[in-house]
Amino acid sequence: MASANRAWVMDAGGGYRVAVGGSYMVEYLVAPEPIHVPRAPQHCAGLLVWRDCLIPVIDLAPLLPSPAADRRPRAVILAYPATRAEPAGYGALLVDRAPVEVPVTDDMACPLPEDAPVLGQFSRSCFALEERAVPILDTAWLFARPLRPVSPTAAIGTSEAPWFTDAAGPLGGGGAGTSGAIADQDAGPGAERQ
Amino acid sequence: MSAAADTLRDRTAALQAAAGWLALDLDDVRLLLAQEEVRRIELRADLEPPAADGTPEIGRLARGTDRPWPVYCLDGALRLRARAPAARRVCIFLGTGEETLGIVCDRAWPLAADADPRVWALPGCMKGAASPIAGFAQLRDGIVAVVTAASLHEFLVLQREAGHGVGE
Repeated sequence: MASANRAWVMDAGGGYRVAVGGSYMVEYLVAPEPIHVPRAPQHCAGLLVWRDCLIPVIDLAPLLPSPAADRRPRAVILAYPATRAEPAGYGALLVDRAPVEVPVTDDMACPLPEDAPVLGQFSRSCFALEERAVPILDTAWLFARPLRPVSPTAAIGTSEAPWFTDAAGPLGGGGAGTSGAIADQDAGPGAERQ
Repeated sequence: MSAAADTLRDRTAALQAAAGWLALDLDDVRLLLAQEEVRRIELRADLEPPAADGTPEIGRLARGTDRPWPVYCLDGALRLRARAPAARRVCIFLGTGEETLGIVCDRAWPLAADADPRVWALPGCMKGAASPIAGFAQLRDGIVAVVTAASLHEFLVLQREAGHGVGE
């Protein structure tokens, strides 16, 4: 039997769910009040002062098909590991409700949601939960790198989606597997990623 | 600069190194500029008309300069405007070392020496957008955007070359 790792599953808006490994979930905020930033990219909802730090706030909903109207978003504070370009840090992701912790195993791996190719840019792998695909977020990509234009027809694993080729797990061309992607995150944000 | 040196921490340190700050208001948006990048402050009334119609400049300063310095107007959403509202009475000129350009604002004042703003560079996820914002500063009364001569120049060149983003 495959060993399970723990992941936090979050509603990112429009009915889409995303996940992170357990150690990347830091805090849940019921009433975040992002500071608006003029001319910020569409998915950057602003900034939050959190624990004496200024952190970016990401809202995936505007990038997803049929984002829900009249949202009252909450936020989760997520950690991200150091990359070549950025030191480790924190960011906030707007969510529709409190995150839920679930066990994840390799046999739950599945393709990314086809109708939301942009998620491939931020995702390390994907698993199925209650018959729906839940991408595992790469928090460094999410908070520390700019969004790249995505063709709505880009297919996972093609040259149009090169960002996914370094992802761990069955969708990334072999590696640690879906639970491995989470286990890798569970090593904590101190480990540097490319 | 190597990619390794261009970290968020390095960019933040570069911004934080500013010796003094000038605050300015554009409608209800407040920006901070490093005083060392400010070349001159003039009244808008002293500007000359732009060289030609159809440019995004709202005027230029030729008096006492080696070549005319163009002046631009941004609105509160940091969009380039071809016409400046009456409230934009003051013009701040910033120098990149090679270029000097001006923006008009409603008012400008130096931050008190003890204001000691804490500065952060632009987060990675916000890079790549067409924006003059290079970072943010935390003041006692809130968060304000930091603009540098280089980031403003790059933004204006991009807007000018793209031929878009200029509204009335």
